[in-house]
Amino acid sequence: MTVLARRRLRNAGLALVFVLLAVALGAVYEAASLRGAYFTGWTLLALTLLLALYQARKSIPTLPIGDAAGWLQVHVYAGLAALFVFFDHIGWKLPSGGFETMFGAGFFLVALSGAIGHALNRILPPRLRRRGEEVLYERIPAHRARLQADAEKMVRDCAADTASTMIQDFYLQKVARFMAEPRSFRAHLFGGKSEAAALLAEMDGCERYLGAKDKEYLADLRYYVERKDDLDFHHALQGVLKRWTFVHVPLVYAVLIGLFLHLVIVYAFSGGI
Amino acid sequence: MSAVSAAQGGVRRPKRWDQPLDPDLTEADVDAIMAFEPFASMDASRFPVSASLRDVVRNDTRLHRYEEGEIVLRNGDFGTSMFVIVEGTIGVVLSPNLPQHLLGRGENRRKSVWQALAQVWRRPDVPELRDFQRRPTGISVDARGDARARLPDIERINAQHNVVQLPKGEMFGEIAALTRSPRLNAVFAETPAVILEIRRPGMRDMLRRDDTFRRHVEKLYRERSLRSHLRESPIFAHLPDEALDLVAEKTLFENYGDFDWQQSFMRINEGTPAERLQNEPVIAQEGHYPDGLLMVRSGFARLSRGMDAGQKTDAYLGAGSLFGLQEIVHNWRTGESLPMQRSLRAIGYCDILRVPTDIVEQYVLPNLRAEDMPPPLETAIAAPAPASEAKLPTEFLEFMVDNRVINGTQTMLIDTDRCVRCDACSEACAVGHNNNPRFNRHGRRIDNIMVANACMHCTDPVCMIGCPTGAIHRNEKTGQVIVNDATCIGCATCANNCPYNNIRMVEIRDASGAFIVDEVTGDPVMKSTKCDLCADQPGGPACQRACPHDALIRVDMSDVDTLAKWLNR
Repeated sequence: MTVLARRRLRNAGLALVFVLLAVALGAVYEAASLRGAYFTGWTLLALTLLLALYQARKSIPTLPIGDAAGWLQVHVYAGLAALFVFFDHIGWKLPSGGFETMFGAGFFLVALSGAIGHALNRILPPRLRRRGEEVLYERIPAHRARLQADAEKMVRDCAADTASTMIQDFYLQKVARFMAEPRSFRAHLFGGKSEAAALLAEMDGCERYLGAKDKEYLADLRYYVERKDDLDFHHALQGVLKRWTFVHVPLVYAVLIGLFLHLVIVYAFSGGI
Repeated sequence: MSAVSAAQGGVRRPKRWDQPLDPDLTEADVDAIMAFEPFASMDASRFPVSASLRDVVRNDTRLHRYEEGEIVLRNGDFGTSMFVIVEGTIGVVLSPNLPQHLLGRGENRRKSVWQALAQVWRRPDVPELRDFQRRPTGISVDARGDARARLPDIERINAQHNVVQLPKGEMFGEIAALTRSPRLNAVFAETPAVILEIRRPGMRDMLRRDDTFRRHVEKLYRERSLRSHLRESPIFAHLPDEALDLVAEKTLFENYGDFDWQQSFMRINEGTPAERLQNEPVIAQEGHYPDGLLMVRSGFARLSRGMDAGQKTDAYLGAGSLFGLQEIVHNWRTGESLPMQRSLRAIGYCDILRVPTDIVEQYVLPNLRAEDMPPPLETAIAAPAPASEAKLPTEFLEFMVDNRVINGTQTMLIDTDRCVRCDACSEACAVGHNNNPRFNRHGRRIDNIMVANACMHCTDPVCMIGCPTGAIHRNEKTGQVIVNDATCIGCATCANNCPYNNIRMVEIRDASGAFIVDEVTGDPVMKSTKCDLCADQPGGPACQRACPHDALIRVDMSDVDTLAKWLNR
């Protein structure tokens, strides 16, 4: 078993033990008529604050307070544990009331977005690595602009050099739009036929009608389309990797606000319990 | 050899002396130097016409003029030159060493926890902000434009330190130049002095062609360094003194490869594997009789075996590694004449100590402890490569050797199958470094492993050669190669030397965000920047600690076990 697999097993086991303990203690509280929901509620609060500390840790990289990988492990498995404690807290049924429903939904969505994000973090990088040259996300627009400029220059050279206008027409009608902006986001993310594949297929189809020199230019055009498609692929996947946290983190802040309000409401209407 | 094709007209093949060490040296200067020792006693006829003694003097030497108190060499500097005192007197500081601040180096104090925390909210809006002052006192520029650092009070230094004075005619720096090891002692001008620098290629020619000079240098090395080098190896560590003396006396010194490998490395690396191999001189050939136990004194060597028309790399050897011991021990035990099972080739450059086989059999093997004996060769053949190296995939090994990444003691490797491209590593680096990360999350890749453009704090730090102010130096305690920002004059010698493009020159800014410019030329003031392993931060390298996905590691490439464990995690 690899080191990382052993770590997963160990941490999952620890999370499971924690959840069982929390549920058991909650049941003990309930049996003692002390409202088990208070125990699980405070446990959830502690877990939520622990989860939120991960963001704080990332903001202070130069202090020796444990490495980010260890903190992420705590974050992921504490998140899993928090989800189970949450379901136990709400009694494995839908909450009642508008606010509680929204708050509960928010908590669940935070967990779900985190789980999806974590899965994306594991699935997308190997796909990125296998496709094309490694490109920094922030430099993709510059690379795209250069490819577009090179492609347009090639087309102009072709027009000046040969009698045929086929490549020029094809570029203006079909390829120019493709080269100008990111394309085929869904196809790259979920797998499927991208716009580039269709363009390349069309190029294959019209190659038979071209002279020798035009065929060389067509080969160049094919190269630019393929490189642009690689850039789009990286743009799509790296974009998702960068942006999923823009769903997760705002939800977290909403949940933290909701948590504070929930606390106030619970104790305001607790009747002294 | 340029890769430009003949159809494009070709280019002139670079030659050894395209860049003389001192382009301003006149023929009259050469005449004067030739009349000086050690050149005067050398037999010029022993030098070939293509590389005559006069050519060596003209191209591989340089005259330096120093004012009283100016620093000639610093302890800890890496150098590839020896020196001859032409005029004046030189002081060699034996002990204690001069304090770091006198040598142009900072004290490398770590920030407190509070200071490290404060970096988060005190981050400037612009990168490379400096509270710039005039160049620190003690650094001046001579007529040639070379920067010099001057000691403030040489009388006090002579009083407080054990300083040996060398007069006109003496040589110094031979051993460090020969072995490319750090200078042990600081050297300064006691009086106004003229010093002749002889760079290593010229020194090498002199060693080859002049027996007196060679005997002198080798005698120095045997007396001062060889015994301690040998004792560092477990094979020789427990030899009785008399046996070690005999071994030291009979040890041969061999040099392979190009000392200035970093200048041709990138060009050679663009070639095919066969072309790269051609540029790696063979030290020992598979199938030949093991006529000596080889110890790598400095540099690196490729351990390989023939596979079809090529060579399969089994491992890379660094300083202190041995080659040939198993075969010698096998033959000694069995009486057979088993040949070398693998080949050894110099990567870049490699200095070898060769202990003849008969000396090994007579004095070393009878004194070798059982635990220091190598495993029997029969077992080794069944497991083709040393156990630790066998854990590294062959393609990875070939890539690391070809790209000279093996030089690194803190190489940044990124697993692109786990890296989510979040740039947390770059962000963490920027927090501690004037809002500008000191590395690029980009570099050559083998399979899923990327070697990022980050300073590797090399075993052989060629960046340090030639720094005029000592700003770039190696911390003696931690091994980090650090640039002292205060004394860096932005000459880019280090950046140009680095064969991996891991050093960047940056323009610096004042508090308003404007570039700081030279008051005379109007050009922006530059500083050399590179990874310093967060030497001034309380937690150490922030990049590795900031990665949430175990994708980034700083690793010593000689620590094969840790490397293999990380690759297989």
